[in-house]
Amino acid sequence: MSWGKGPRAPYPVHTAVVVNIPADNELANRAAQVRGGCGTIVTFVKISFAKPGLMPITPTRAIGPDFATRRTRGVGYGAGEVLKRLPIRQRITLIVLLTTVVVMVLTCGATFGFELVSFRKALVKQLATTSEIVALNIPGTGSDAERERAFQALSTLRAYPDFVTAAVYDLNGRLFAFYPDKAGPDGIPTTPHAIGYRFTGSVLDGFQPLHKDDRQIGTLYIKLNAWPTLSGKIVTSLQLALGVMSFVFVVAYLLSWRLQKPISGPIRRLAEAARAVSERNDFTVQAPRETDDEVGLLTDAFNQLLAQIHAQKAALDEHAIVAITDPQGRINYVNDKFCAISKYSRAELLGKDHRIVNSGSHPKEFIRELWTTIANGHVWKGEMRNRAKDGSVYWVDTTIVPFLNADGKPYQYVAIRADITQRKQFELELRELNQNLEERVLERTMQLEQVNKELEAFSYSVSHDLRAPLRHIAGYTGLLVRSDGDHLSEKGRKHLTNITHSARQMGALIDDLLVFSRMARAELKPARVALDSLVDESIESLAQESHDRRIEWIRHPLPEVEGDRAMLRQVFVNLISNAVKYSRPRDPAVIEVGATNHSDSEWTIFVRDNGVGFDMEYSHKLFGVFQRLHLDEEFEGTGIGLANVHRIVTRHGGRAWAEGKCDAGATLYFTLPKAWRNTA
Amino acid sequence: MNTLKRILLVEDSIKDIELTLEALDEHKLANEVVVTRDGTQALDYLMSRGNFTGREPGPPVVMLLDIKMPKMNGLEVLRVVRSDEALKKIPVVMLTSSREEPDLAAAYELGVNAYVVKPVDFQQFAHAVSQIGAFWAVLNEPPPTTTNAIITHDH
Repeated sequence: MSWGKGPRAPYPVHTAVVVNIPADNELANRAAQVRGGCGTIVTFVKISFAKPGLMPITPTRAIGPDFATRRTRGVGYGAGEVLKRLPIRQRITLIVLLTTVVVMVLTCGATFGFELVSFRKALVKQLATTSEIVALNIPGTGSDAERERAFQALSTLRAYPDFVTAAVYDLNGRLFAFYPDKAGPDGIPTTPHAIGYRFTGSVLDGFQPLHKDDRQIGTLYIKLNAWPTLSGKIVTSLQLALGVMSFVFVVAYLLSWRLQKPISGPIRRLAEAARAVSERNDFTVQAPRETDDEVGLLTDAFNQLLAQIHAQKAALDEHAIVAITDPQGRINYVNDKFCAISKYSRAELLGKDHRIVNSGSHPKEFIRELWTTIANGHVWKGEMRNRAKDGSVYWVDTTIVPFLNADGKPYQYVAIRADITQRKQFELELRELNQNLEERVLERTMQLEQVNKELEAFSYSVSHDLRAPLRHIAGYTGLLVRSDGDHLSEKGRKHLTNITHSARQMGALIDDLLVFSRMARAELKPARVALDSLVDESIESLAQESHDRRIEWIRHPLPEVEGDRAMLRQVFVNLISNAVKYSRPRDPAVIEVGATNHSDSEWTIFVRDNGVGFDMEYSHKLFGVFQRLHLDEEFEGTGIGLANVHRIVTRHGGRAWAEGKCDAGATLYFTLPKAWRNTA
Repeated sequence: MNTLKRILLVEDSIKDIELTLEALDEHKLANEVVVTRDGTQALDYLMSRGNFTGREPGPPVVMLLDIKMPKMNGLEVLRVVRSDEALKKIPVVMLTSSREEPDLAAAYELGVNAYVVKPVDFQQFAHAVSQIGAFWAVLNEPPPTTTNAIITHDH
């Protein structure tokens, strides 16, 4: 308990006294946290809260019970604060009554005051008149007989109400006669004062000049004690006022009670609707619109808001599985989809711990991490595997949002989920498929490697074993020429020459075939290759063949590309040797090598010669295996060279083609992609 | 004083042997050519054992070695020769029809002196062989043997 300061400080202040009130809504409980003041006030408040007519709607994180506590924070202790806590109905009545009472009091007060003043004036006037009459009956202020006469006149005043005493003074201001004479001249002034009657407190007295034949002969003095009359009058007035006020009060009360209905009624009903919404989470409630004033506006806004929330909720329910739990995980609310997917009825779910749908498929750390995250007020997202009532499992994509109160602690968790069982199933299948695929790919790769190895062995033995007999053929033919060449006829010698040529031809074929098959099989070893250097090497390797010829080389700078060096060299060797071969009839042979950069994605390289060219009609045959467009006698060759080029270029992701004209030279083009792509 | 320069030819094909001998003979390199038809025989010869026990002592000035041979192939022979203290200095020239890279790589790995692919064309073949003979048997200085000592192997 602490001591607070206020208009009537110091007084004891309780901090956070939770008032137990019979309301269902937990929130109402929280809202009733008050800083209790004097016991009376707390009690007062308690009574008013027994009718939970003004509970706020279950607030979200945005407004939170902050809203509620703000209402109860900074409780004052004056009547004004107390007033704020009354229900509207009572407040209106109270206000009307208060107004009535105040008005009444003021009115009565004013009337009464006026009355009093008038009454006193009247009394004065009356006395003045009476004193004049009495003065006429006083003959003089000299002789005893006149004294006796004066005495008689004065004594007639005894019948006058509130009469106390009267006296006559002579001309010199000396007391001449007075009545009553028994008490003596106490309470009678010794000399006359000012003319006129006046009140002094409740005593009314004054002086009246006595005249005889237009000359003053003395002064008359009369004294009254008006208190009885006055007090009587006051009492009567008060009684009257009280009576009237009571009557008016009752009338006012009845009237106000009747008249506040159209004001407080709609408000109360609006509040009822709000409470219904918050208690039952029923957003289909609509408050009745009864008036056209601000309350009507409020009702409209309320209804609209409700309709919107309801619509949003319905929209959410269309898609999502929703559950709301308390901080301990007990289920407070589930939507239809939740019931559908978990196969429990709503009754079976409400109040239960959310663990009811646990499938036990998640490790402890997973669950712990979940709770830690949300208990700290953070949103948790993840995929969970839950179990339905019949034991079947389902997957949900879950987002859990903690709703925080003013202290930043969660007071409820809203879990929004989407059914992803189907998707998970697909994922699983996909993974299986992928795995299968990978296994099959592995198998296939192994098979291919096996095949490759066999081909390797095959070509190895082919190259060796096929060459040997060929060599023998050529060899013995040569020996024959050596040993018996002279004995042979011209024809015979020619036959031998042909045999030798054929053997040589076959040898070349075998070599080319081997190269071709190697190019097809070998793995590409990508590296940055300076094409210019390959051209240099090719030209050099042909130096011997072309040493006796005039060849003009036109070299344009070639780019650096990504590719297999050995294979790309083979391309240039083939193309340039072709250029050299087919330009043999020319003197000088002009061979041009260059590159163009027309496209963003690839280089185009060309080798041009001014040789015998070819007929474009057969250009499609150029790159075929063993395809030739010339006769052996014209130009030797196996027809593999360009097939090789084509194969290598294709493996690098490029294309090859040729342009030529009979007897006007040929240009061979090929492209290489700028970005490395293995299309092996 | 010129000792008789001996060439060891290790070759299984009779035809290849004949062609090679003819080629060597053409230039009258006046060498003795010892021929063994497989690897084991070659090693026997080099180590003066088996059939060749009691042969004329002295290593050949060059060994012409084919690769594809039955029983022991040329590369295996090369390995043995190169790992033998007494034999490792003998110049070896691979004379084979295989241009395959693995064979090339293996041969040089084992320390072969030269690798010649037998050309199909006879003229070229004869030219190559005579060049080999002229170089190793005439021009090249063979590794020294211990003066007047006879290399024997105790087997």
